[in-house]
Amino acid sequence: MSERVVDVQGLVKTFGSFRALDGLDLALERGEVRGFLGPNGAGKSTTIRILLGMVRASSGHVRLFGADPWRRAVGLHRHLTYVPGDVSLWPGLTGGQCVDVLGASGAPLDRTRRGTLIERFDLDPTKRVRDYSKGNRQKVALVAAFAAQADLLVLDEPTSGLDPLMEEVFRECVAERAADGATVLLSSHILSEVEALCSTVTIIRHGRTVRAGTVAELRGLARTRVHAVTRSAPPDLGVFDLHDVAVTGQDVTFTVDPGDLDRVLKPLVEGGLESLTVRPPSLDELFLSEYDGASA
Amino acid sequence: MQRGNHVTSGLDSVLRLQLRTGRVVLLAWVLGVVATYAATVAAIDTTYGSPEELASYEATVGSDPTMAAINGTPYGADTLGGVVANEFGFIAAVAIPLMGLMLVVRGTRAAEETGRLELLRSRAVGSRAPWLAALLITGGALALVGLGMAVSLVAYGVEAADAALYGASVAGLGLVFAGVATLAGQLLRRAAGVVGVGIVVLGAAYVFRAIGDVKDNGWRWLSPLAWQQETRPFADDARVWPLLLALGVAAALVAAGLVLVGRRDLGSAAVASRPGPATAGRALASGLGLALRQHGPVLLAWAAGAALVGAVFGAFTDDVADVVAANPDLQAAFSAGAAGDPTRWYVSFTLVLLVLMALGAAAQVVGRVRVEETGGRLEAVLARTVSRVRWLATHAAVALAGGALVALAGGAGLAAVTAGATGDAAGTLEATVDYLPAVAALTGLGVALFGLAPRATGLRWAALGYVAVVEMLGETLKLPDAALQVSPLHAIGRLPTEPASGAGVLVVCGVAALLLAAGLAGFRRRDVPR
Repeated sequence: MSERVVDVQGLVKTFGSFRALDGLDLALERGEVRGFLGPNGAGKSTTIRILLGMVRASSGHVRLFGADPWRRAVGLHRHLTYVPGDVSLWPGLTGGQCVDVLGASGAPLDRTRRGTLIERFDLDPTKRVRDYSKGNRQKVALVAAFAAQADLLVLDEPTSGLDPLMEEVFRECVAERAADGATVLLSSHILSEVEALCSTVTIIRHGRTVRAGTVAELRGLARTRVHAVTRSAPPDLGVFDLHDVAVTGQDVTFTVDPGDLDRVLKPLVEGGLESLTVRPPSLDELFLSEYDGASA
Repeated sequence: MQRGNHVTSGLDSVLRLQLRTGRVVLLAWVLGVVATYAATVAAIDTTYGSPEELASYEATVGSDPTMAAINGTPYGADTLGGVVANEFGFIAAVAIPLMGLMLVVRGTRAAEETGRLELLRSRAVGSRAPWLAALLITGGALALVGLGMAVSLVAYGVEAADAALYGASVAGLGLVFAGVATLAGQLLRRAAGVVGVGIVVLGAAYVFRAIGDVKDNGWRWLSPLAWQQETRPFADDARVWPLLLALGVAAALVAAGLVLVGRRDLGSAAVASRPGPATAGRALASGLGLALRQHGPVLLAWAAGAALVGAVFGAFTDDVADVVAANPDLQAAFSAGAAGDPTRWYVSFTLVLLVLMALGAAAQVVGRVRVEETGGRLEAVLARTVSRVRWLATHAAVALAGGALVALAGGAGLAAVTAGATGDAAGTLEATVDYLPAVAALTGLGVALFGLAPRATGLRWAALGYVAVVEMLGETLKLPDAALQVSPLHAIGRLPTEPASGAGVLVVCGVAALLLAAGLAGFRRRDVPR
């Protein structure tokens, strides 16, 4: 089996005249936990459906465990488990029955883990699905996914509707499965969740990959925000490569690449400071600017 | 605070919304029913144009007890209106109640079940507003159908007063079932359950009306279908009070429903759910087990209904034989025509009815398969190691086997009860088996639509409606042979009065296999969900 679990290059999907995916790239190595980010309608769910072999790619290269998911969907599904963002289950069955029905084919269920997961997610398995809230339906799918002995977890906004306690349990579970060596593709809008769980991220917009790399690399791309109040008129900072500069009297704010920080701070400190706040690079800001399409 | 009754506020906006989202369905119902009716009027006016021809109709078909069981007592069968009312009796008895039922459920429980109503209710929309809006729209559509029928009759020279009473009685029948939907809609949480209750009520109404008409007794008064029929618009003793009875019952059902909806929580129902097992048994965990679990209860209900209809209608066979024996005109008609032995003729009519029920059951299963996709569950299923072809084939097999079960249950009930009269229970059962390819053909059509054009899956109901019109009205409408042969039942033949056409059975089986294969192949190739 190929080391690259997911390999997508130049993926295009059109629905009529609408181009949902327009040359998207996505790759996951074995054991990687990758965040999959992008604004609403960017094409995340379409990509996931193509990976699951439910939707057929219009063109481009798509491989899952080295095979074409459209042709080999059933065999490939033995190795993966999937949680959609809006879980729809059989209203007449109980939550416990649904876990078993979902686990009956595909990656086999670990019965012990099924029991502990039901406890950890505080799920009543005897309740009918129609009586569950959205969050509880989501928990049914999560229990089924984490109890499955799968090599790949495909999670499409899996925590929508979960309370903060359950969100915490979810993070623990992802971390445990990753520690076991599972590969995880996590599509999410919760940036803190991605930052906490993922080692790599892919950001897409308008069906195209706009940024892909490790979280550390991205952090390197993000700029440090500096807010200084100087004793006298601030020194001329024009020689440095600064961004978002705002100067009002002795009050100076700007952002700067982390590598340039020490050089920029030197003249400021030498000129005398009333106060200084330096905020470390925030992925939020980077993500938001990528979502916006504002960053270069 | 805004003045006004809070439970009905927002009525106008809900009304507009339901009209906008339901206009195609509304139009299809109204035009479909009125067009079929108008065509029937035109065809009968051609066939029975003179008073002599009308009198001969009354002497033969009009007093045929077979027709009394299937279509109802033909009052005023020596007039154009009376003949049409009789010929159209079965179609009206099925289509109008279903129309009242489905149109109400569509805008109310169905919307509530899927959560659409929740968002609407969060606006200034009272709890009763969606129900009132649906009832107003349904009432309006039924009034249009009644009006269209009356106008069709008047156009062919029927007295306006008689035509109006007929149209009103038909609309009244629909309103009773709109009322049934309104009350059942408060008691059950799922739209499919509400429709199911309505169909059970319709089945009971049909059986009670048939018992009353064949035995000429008071059982008929238990049936809303009889309230429509007993206005006798085209007979000399036309009367309005049965219509008032229908309207009164409809009003009472609606009132009870509207009181309940004002008292219950959104999304709740009187019938609460109980906790169930925490784990799935081995049977449920298999694809077939899950499919059986999903479709089994509905199919068993259909099968029980078919067995009941087969047995009850079968029990009239002796009455039919007696009436024919006592009527020389009828005897002459039977021995001259292709119908042959009257008891067999009657059995074949009942058998067609049972096969139509089987087709309905199979069509319903296909509909529930489509709901798996639109409801988002199919993705969770296909994300496992379940092949598309296998999944769809499993459900198609359940639809097919279920339809066959319904037909065989009905055929067995009919065969058992009529064994004495026909002396040929095996022949009746054999005829039922010969009709099974028709079940496969309709299942195949549904699967083909689902696989190739999923958004058009609803067209299978139109196909079923067409088959019903061909079987019940095809001869009357003088449809061209090609149009008749499209119905798989017609292609197989009129059983058991004539032997099954071997070529017909082969063609129907072939078409069914082709449609199934096309559906499976299409589903393999298309995107999910679509």
